[in-house]
Amino acid sequence: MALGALWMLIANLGVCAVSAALVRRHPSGSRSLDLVQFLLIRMLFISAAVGLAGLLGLLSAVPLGLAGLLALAAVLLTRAVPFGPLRLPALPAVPAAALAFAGLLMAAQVWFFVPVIGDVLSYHLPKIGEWIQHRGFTSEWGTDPRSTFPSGFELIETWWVVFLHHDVLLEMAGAECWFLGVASAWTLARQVGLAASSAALSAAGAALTPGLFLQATSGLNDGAVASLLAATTALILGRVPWGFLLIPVGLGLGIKPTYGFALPGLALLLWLDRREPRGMPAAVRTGAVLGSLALLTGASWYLRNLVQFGDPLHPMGRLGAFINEGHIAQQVGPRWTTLFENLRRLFDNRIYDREPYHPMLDLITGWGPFGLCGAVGLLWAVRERPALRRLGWAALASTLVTLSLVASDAWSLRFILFLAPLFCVGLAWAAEELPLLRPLAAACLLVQAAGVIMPASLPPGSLRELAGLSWRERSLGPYGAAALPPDQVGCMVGPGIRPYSLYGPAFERRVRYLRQETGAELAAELDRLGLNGFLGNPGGRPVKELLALGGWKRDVGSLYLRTPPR
Amino acid sequence: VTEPSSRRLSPLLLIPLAGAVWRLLARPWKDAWADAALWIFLWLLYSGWELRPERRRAAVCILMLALMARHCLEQLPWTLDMIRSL
Repeated sequence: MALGALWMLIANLGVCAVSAALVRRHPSGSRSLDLVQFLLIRMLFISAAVGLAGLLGLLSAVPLGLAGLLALAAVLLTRAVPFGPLRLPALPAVPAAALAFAGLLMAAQVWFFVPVIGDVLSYHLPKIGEWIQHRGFTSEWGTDPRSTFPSGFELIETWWVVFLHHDVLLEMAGAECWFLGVASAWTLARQVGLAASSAALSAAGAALTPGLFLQATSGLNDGAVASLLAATTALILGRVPWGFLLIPVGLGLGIKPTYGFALPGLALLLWLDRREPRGMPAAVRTGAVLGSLALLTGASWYLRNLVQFGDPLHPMGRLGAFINEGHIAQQVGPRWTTLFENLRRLFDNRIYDREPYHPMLDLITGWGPFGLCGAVGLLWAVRERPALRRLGWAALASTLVTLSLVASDAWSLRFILFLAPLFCVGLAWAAEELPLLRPLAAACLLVQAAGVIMPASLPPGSLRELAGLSWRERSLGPYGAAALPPDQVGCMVGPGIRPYSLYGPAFERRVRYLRQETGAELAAELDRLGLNGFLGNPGGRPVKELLALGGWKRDVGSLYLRTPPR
Repeated sequence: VTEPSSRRLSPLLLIPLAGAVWRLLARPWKDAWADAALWIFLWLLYSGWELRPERRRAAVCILMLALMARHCLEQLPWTLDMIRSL
């Protein structure tokens, strides 16, 4: 474990050094925009490195650590980065306190939290379990048909688990994306002409936005998409060369196709901004290389699906993805009815966040009071400032297109979470125009700080339970380490099955996926594999028949154990 | 020369006003006041009425305060529950 931590440190230093060197070589003229570019380039290199290692079967600590060591050595030898003391800007007390609190809370949640969201356990993370155990990509898709969706976010998550061979730092992937969103909110505020103190307020609002914060520490990828959209907006307003602009586009499309839903609005912004002078000198070669790498990384998932399943959006099909019978989880193509239903639900009650803050944003927008007041501020600002007017039109276009493309359900408004950083800029602008609003902004930050301490996804008392566990064995759920067979366990393919908990926090347990149709076939397969336990659907035919055959009993939840064990 | 008082308002501006009326009629008043305030504010902001700057600022302040109060009242029970569970 200590060696893994050392490789993780070296690899992170290497990727940071190369990213900083590139930013230093092609400065944008704005320190905050440089920070956004640094974070994007770092994310790109991480994604590309994990993707390549996964393809080559080299997905483990030593190869990735050695690559980081080489990168670090190259930067040190060429003296491409000036290593020196970090200078932090002087911030007003309220935004500084809010940012410090948010940073500390984020670190604590990364350390103590474990994945509990159904989608995350069902189809995001089981892939990582397979990749880590097999040291590369596999063709095992697990129990959920959505496993074949683009997995760009899982690449970043894999970066944070591969060195330690443990998922204790899994949420760092979300934290990186959250930080990108915060830096983007700061940058956007500066780009529309706000003072540094107002930019800090905007960043603090974004940092404590419940949707962005809680998505980051729950393993979900919608917050990452929102942050990448905010970063893309900042790059457009910063008039960066095309190649650099393609970095968040490639990364975003590789994380989730919903990133692409907002692109029409961003294209509009690009067009509205076309007469503004170029912000940074053209860097054709570097931009072409980075942009191509980003597009290749993002497009690889769609190409894989096209080759393997004949459809780049598999398993969407022509009608969409069905998870439960009759419910379309993801629709295909725009619909007027969807747009109006989503808008009605937005203005009807979800805009007020009337339900507890859940990372999936169940029946809420997750913008918090800061974002809600910021929406009013942005409406006011678009009358007064041309730069914000263009931003407002682009945001409106992105929102309408996105809401017409996502099935209207309890969670559909998480796809417009990208509005939150823009609204934060709106409130920061309003507070600059009208200092009377500063106490109100501070009160909003306080309310949100209290709201993001514990997400509604964790059961009451679970924080105490998690803090009481050693980090090596930290996990929640009905399939505790004591109940499960230690070396391997079976998992039947079916609705509601969430296999990630079976792997264990150190990926110590092999998961064998079972696809048998009858009890006899299931019994034979369990015997062949030598399994003493499996997860199955209690109402399913194979499980019922197996229990009738004898030799198996139901334990906790949908866990079945062999009696007596072999 | 057109008299300022005879300036025509765009029919489109009736949409926010209709929104406010819809919100007020759609559900009990206690749940609808913030929605209605938002729509009325939009109407004031974009109706072309030249509100004096200090009045526009006062409108923004009142609206934001109302929205924050509404939001806090909605979240208060959940926040207290969360703090108790820690």
